Amino acid sequence: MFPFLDLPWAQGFASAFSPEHLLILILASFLGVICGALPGIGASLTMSLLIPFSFHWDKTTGLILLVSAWASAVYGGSITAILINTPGTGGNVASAFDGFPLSEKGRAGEALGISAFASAVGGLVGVGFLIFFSPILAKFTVEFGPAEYFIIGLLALCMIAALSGTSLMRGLISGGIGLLISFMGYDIITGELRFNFGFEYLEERIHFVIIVIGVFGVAQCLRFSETVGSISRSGRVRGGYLSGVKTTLKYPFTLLRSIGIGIIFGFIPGLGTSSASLFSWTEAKRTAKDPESFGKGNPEGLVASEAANNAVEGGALTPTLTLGIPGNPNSAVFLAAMLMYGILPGQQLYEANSDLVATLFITLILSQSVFFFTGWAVSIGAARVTTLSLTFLAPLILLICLTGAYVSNGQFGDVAVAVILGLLGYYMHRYKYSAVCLLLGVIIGPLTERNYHRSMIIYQDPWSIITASYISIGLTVLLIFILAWGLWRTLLPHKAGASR
Amino acid sequence: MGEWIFRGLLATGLLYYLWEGETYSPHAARLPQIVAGATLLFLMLDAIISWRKNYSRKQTASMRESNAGSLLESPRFYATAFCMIAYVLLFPFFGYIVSSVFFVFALSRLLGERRWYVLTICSIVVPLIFWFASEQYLKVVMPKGMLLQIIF
Repeated sequence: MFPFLDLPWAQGFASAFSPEHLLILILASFLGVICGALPGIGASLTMSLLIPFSFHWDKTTGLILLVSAWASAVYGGSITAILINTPGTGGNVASAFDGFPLSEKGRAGEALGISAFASAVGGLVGVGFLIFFSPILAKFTVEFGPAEYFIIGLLALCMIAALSGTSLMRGLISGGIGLLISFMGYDIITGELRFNFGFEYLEERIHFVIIVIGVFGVAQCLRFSETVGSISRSGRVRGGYLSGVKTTLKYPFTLLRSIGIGIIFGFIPGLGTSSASLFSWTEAKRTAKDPESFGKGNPEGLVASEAANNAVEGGALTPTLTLGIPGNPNSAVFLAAMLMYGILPGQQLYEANSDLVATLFITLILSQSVFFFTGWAVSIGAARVTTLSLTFLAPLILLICLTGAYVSNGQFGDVAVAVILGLLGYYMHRYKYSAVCLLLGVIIGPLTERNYHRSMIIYQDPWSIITASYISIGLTVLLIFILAWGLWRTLLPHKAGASR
Repeated sequence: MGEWIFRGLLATGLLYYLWEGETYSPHAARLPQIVAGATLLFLMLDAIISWRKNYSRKQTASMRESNAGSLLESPRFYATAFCMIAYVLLFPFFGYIVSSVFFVFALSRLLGERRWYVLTICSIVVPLIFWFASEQYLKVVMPKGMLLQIIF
């Protein structure tokens, strides 16, 4: 029942704790934290860059390098999200909601500590889940067909629209714009070119990293330019890294729930890290006693998003290792590296490469612990950024964003699109349209459209999609309930306020 | 007023998207058109809700003030937006290094930075570091620009 009991753990320990592998693990962790913090780089690109270096290495050493860089890069993205409101990766978008206001209050050190500790705990539990339950729960994902995926996409969008912003309508408008952006380019099923408006650049879908850079990074720089002084309003950094650990432990239930959300979102292929952390943050806000403090520097919001985005990776490795279906883009790159080394996923992985699997699992646990310390080393200097003058910091952040936009795909069009989206993001923020919903729309767009077409081919009419299974009926009821509740809140705000 | 201009721009974009959808096959355009139509509907509903809230008898003075804003922003915002757009336009001609040096220098000055050593480090050293890191470690060739290609 539990295949992990049959693994050669002694060999795995000996391999993972060898001096050579430990050194690679630590160096890769430093590199991962730094690369993850740079907008446009992220975990996938970091691993992609390391694969050629490790090509001639022993497969165990190569995978240790990639795993350590992966785990650290996912955490690293939160550093810039917290300090300058520019998420390093899409998975850290929700971390900026409460992380950046904490920095503005001068609590950047504490926020980085919260992020590192919640990420480490989330990652550790996620890996533990992977080790114990991966083959069993991977079977559950088979129950999800196109109809369920399609409704899940809509449900995620409506839930975030209803809970994250000030108005359901504006959340839905933003989500709709995000979906429309994702539909530009070649049709997933027919391959027909559409909605490129005569621009060659739009023939390919706009990568969501460019949208993160534009809507969050560039837009934030435009807001910085209107501010005099530093990010930290007091000009000081209060609260240390370790105080973040204490703060995180004040929210044990949020931590556990967010880890659970992360794992579930991870092992359902396509839902992704961003959706998990956004959903987790939304859930924390929904169940909190003081939901109005979320987005204004509530540490609980940061705990929720960071615990979820690292737990996703353990969950995402579950279908990757057991079924060969990557749970998210990061695990897709990892799967490509495994195949490059001639390691096939599935049952044969546990049989033919059992010593490698044991080493991989131990390395995953180690890497989650190591980035807590490497992140500490990096953040000692990084937190000081919030006290620097914005007169030169804003242009530099803008340059980092625009360079990141170019580097991510090597296209000039990405720089221009990042600037246009930056202006859009600035005005969306000004008029209280949710940039998060726009991003979520872009992320779930391809998944939703692909499964809409598949469902229509299978069931022929939209009503049959809803009644395809008990899961789809349940999800639809939940969707209607959330929409009705959101509408009620929007149309009758005084009554909603009175009832609270 | 600014909010209504923003809404108008969004509505125009959505209508154009819907119209553009008519030129593609129904299979490729159906879902995007449904989403564009629904978004337009939500935009209209939001406009009605906002109008109802803002112009009802219960409207407060503070709400009136908040709605008086326009798309016109502070001079510092204009400086940043202008520099960004200039950077995008000059990037293909002058390449990464030259346009980045001018961009950071001009924007820092416009935002009020006067210390020469800060301006030098930020505008010259930092773009050079980014260029070197991109070319050497990320293996991404940064554009030299048409001007440098003609000269060299």
